[in-house]
Amino acid sequence: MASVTFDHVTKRFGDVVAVNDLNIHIEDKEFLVLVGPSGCGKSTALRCLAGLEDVTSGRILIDNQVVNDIPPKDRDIAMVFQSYALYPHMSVFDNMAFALKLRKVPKEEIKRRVHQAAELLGIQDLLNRRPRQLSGGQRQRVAVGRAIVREPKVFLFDEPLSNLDAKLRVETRANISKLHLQLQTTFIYVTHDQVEAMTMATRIAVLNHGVLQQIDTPQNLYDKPKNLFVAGFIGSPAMNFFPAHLRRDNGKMYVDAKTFAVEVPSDRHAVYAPYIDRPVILGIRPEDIYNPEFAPPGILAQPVEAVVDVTELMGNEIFVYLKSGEHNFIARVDPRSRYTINQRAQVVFNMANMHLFDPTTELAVR
Amino acid sequence: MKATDRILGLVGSLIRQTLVIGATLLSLFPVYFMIVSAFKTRFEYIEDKWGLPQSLFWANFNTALAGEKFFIRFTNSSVLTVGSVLVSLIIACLAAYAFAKMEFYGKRTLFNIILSLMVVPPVVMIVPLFVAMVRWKLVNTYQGTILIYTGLLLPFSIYLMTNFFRTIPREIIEAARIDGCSSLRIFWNIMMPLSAPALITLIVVNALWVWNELLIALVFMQKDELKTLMVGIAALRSRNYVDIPATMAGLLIATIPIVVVYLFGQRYFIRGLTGGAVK
Repeated sequence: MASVTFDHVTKRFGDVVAVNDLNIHIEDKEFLVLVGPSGCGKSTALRCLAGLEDVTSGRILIDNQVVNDIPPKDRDIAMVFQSYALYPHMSVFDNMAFALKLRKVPKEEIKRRVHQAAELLGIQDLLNRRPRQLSGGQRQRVAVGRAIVREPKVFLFDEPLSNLDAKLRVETRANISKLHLQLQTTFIYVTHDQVEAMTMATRIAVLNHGVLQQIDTPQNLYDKPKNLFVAGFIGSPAMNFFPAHLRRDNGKMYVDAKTFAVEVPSDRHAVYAPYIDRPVILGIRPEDIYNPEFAPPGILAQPVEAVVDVTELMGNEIFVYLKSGEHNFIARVDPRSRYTINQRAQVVFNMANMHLFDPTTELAVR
Repeated sequence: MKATDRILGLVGSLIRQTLVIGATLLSLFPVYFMIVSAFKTRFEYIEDKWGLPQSLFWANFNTALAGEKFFIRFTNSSVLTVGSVLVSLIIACLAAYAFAKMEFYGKRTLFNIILSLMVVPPVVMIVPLFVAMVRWKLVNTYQGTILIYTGLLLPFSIYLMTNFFRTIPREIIEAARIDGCSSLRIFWNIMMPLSAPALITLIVVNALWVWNELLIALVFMQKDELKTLMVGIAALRSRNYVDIPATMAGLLIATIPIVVVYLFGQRYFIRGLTGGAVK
């Protein structure tokens, strides 16, 4: 149980900057997810914390102690790898007991801890097997078990679910969340899957090109993305963006995207005023676009004309790919909607949930 | 159409089978020759070189064993084989571990130099080696010859082990580091057990080579009580006559230990050659 701090951490590989001036403070018992596209530096950040890579500059603190020069084994951390990295020549028991044996923990204590962890994970029956005799899901649990028996201050997970099939992934996701509640320890979890990030994290840190974009609770990240990257990365299907102009007309404010113009709610006028007659980017999430027939009451509906390009029936909803002039966008609409391809359709934007971005800084206007 | 396909397939497989059978017979022929000759009298051998012996003539084995000398030579061969295989194995594994899993200045250059040493034929080194060994007073010693053999075995051994170690996933080593292993412990508890197939392959290949080596043993182990089995057998065709059947009997005996080593390691040998399917 410990807090973790990245203090101006930079990691370079030759000319490539993998992590650029990263500052994060992770509270004790927090479940922090580092998320971003591949190559964004999230794994490198985790490996620096584990001590598998040296940092180029900056400090990493575990429990307020600088660990830059402390070898991995003395950092009191445990890590679950994407490939599980089980020792193929050892039984499941020995895999889990290995770290304890190296630390000269008494035999009885090792046995107790391994059996306790095995019970927690439901792998008691597998203790005598070798890793190659296990399924992917079982291996994953053994890898987690190996981390648990160590009773470390911090758990590190490096994309531990990406080798599992979709169904098992959902199940294991829930199990890891449960584990976090049971163990009451700091979890730091790396993934490229924003759904994993959203469902498990107490806070999410979004990285891109080695730079921290935003760190916040899942809900805040979703509702108030700080910039275009975060807005586009979190949420699936991604947020729709429309290059447009902001203009004022008769005391009302409009986002004018050439083929359509939608009215900005009055409570935002003051904030958006500096952008009048300047280019902006309008952001609307697919779920904030409705078929007018099924639009719920109370939203700030603004009609938009578009042509249906493709529809995808998901069962509980329909993804409609729409076109309006040069703009392509996606709407998640009520499954009772009937859209046919190339049909002219009217949809409504819920402007209460609109986002506005500055096209040069890419920051949200707030 | 289908019939011609089948005939073509049949012909193809016939050609393949013939080639395989031919190659097998060709490589087995020396073994056959050794075994049948070992049981022939000398006259019988001169009359019919390739045929089967009329009866089993065991006296060749007595000639080959030639009193207690055979056992001395057997011991000499064993000491040299075990010694040089063991020493080269230890050095090669440690070096390969560094080449495969560590970063240090000049790594590639050093590795390439070692690789290039694989192609230097031992014959060209005999004279300078002999001069050096005389200076260091290592001629006619086990240590001296083991030193030479070790040097000759190392390039290939390092090459093989480095390539095998490279197939061991980085994550396993990192997991071990986090679990609390030092570099040496990773080597001993993780790398070595996972490399068993490659290790056994290397032991078999190297032991075979040292056991059968003639030139260096002949030059550097000159004293009669230090001669190896292969040198002793080669000496059977001495000044006055060539006793092929006795030579073959000696070779047959000399082959047995190495066949045992091979059979023991065969299971791993094949696996080792097919490479690191570690998952």
